[in-house]
Amino acid sequence: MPRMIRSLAIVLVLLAAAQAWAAGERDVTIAQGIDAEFLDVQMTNNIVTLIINGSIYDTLLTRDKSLAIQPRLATSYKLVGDRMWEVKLRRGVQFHNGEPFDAEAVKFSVERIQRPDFKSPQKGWFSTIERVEIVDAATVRFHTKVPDPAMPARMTLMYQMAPKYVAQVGDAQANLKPVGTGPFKFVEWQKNERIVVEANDAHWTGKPAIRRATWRPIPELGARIAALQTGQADLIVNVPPDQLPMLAATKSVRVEKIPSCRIISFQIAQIKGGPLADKRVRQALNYAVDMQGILDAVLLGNGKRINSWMPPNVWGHDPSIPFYEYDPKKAKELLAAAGQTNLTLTLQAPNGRWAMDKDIAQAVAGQLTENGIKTNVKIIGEWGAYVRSILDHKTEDIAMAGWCLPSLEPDHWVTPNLKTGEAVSQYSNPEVDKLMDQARAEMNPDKRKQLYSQLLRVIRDEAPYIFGYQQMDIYGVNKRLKWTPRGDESIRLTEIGF
Amino acid sequence: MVGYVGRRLLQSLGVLLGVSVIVFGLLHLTGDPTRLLLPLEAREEDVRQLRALLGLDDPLWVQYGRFLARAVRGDFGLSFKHQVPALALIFQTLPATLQLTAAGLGLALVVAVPAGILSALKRNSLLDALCSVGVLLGQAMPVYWLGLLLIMVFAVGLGWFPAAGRDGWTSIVLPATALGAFSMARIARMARSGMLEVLAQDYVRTARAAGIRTFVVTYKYALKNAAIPLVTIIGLEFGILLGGAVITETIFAWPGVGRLAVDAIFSRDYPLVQAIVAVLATLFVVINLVIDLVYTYLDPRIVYVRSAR
Repeated sequence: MPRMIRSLAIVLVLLAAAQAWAAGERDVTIAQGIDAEFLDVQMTNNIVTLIINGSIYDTLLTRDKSLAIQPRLATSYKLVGDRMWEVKLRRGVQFHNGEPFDAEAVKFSVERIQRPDFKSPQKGWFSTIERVEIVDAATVRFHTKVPDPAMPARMTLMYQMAPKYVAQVGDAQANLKPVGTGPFKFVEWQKNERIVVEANDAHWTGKPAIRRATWRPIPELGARIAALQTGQADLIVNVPPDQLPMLAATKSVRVEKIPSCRIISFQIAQIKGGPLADKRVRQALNYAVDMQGILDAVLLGNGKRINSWMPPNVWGHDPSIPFYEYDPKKAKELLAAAGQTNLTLTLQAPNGRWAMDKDIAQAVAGQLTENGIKTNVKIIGEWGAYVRSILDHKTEDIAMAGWCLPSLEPDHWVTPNLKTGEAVSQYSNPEVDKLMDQARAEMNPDKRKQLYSQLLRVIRDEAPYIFGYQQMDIYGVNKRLKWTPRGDESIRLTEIGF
Repeated sequence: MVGYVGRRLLQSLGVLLGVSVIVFGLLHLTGDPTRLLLPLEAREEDVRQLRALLGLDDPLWVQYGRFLARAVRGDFGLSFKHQVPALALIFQTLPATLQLTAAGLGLALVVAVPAGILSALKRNSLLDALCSVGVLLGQAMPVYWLGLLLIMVFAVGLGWFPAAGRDGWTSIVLPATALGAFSMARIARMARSGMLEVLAQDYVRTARAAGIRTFVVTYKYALKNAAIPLVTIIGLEFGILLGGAVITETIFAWPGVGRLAVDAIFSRDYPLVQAIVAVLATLFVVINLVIDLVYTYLDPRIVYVRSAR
């Protein structure tokens, strides 16, 4: 008898183990560097936080893998007047709490961000919207203060909140127990430990392949890689190029890469005046750096050069604009013509913000020095201090700068960085300002594209940057996942299969 | 005794007040946090609005007064970054840190005290030499290096423990080892030297001469006397580990108050930093007080008189 009980117990244990294995098979753990800041999606502009929230909330429009705009909770949109967009909403969609999604929810979601007492960092994203008009339950109109061709791009960031739920539980609870219409439902959030979501089988796009997903913050790179190697994580982000051989040695793991929307360059402080106010000097700086050589040597080829201040995966980019080719002779000629043959500059760079940032900065400074422009490197390790130097317009002569915004709207690359008086801009040029204003208000897409082409050509010629490269986003993935990365730094659970 | 405790409590309040002034001053020296809380492309108007909402427009002394008036009621305000009460965030993460610290110190004690005593008893033996090497290594290895080494060997290589996170008891073994290693070395060294000193005392020799068994002499008479400096260092170690868990927590993705503090400092989250410092300083002060009281138990000759001067 005891023997039989023992056998039975063993069978039960094995069964339970098999069941646990089966349940775990379609579970996925993703390790990023930081935890979500908020699960009230309207309280954040942080890319990691938006990625996590993207599984719980839906937006009106979305971007497919090629980053083209596609319908989501909005089925269609059209321009009715110069300052009015009419949007048709998907019918029959429900929030996770059963509340219906309709025009009221859209109005509520926009107005919540615009409320002066609501501390949302997304205010700027929707600052052109004057009011939201409800036409019927499935139709809304956005009235804008100015003609705004970026409205579709803005709608890809319009996350929909459940109005009754938020009113009932309050903002604080809405953050701790988020309710959206997304393909995954919130399960738990242990601060700095994990966020768990489970499949919303009632989602209008159908049942997700993943049953349960866990987002884990693992700040230390070594531990993140170890978690992937031991199967504790299935997908990890921000793998630096020099770690690739180590990942390649692990059988269960593969590497995925994609050129990102994030571009990294060296911003030249033209507004400081002096030699840097001379276009020829700025151009000389570009000719004096062998960017491709640096990318190959430092990033092991993981980076793609850019021809002006916009990445190829953002609409408006013009591939026909020529790159600055490495030409030390031309650099010397330009410097001589400008009467700047004895130039000493300082270049500032952060440490650990972008892959191998400090090393790249040192290589750039090294080449400038080699080609007659003595360049000292100043590393500002603390990001807060780095940002402050930029916002206070007190950068050194050259500052390493990276940029990517989730809107993928061309204006959001040029205006904040190059317009006169903008917080981040270290450059001023009335001609460029005028072109930017024209392009951001042009409602005809063909004409608008032409304007950006013209603008980017002027920027290339004006050289307010030593033009750098498109960052390569590198992921470590467990081979059991079917997944390829996106160029907008996002990870969508619905794009993961087995 | 009661008077002594009362006086110590008053002194502690003074310490905490001093800490709060220093932290408040230092934080505000680092500059205005509003620009860091908003996106880089934010408009000046949004910046002004947020600054007013956070109460950063008021003069510094008004801000400090407001902070102090709230703090004495246990209200440290809303975290700028997370928009929830700062204290709630700390109480959410403090258990993980206390758990890690206790495990690290526990592990250190379990290994270090017997090792220290044994190497004192078997002075100049092979065991003593091995312990000395262990102590040297423990004190020389930086925790981030040891942590990664432990992950490589025991998580990736052998697969015995998870590499990161806080899931079940197995996940605490590696971080506790990494955290405890330094203390382990220090405690072992103290235990050894303390024991050697006591063993050379007259009363130990007398006890031995009186024919009392070695075991009793060692553990009843010698150990209790050697324990006083040990208790001091253990108390201090606990405080140091509590504050020093930051690196270990980061390496092993342990969701403790150390990581919370680092994030808060980098994002200039004033209320959260102030609350964390206040809570940790209070813990430190309480631990020190407890140690002082434990002395009287260990050595009844230590009495607290009114005017010790």
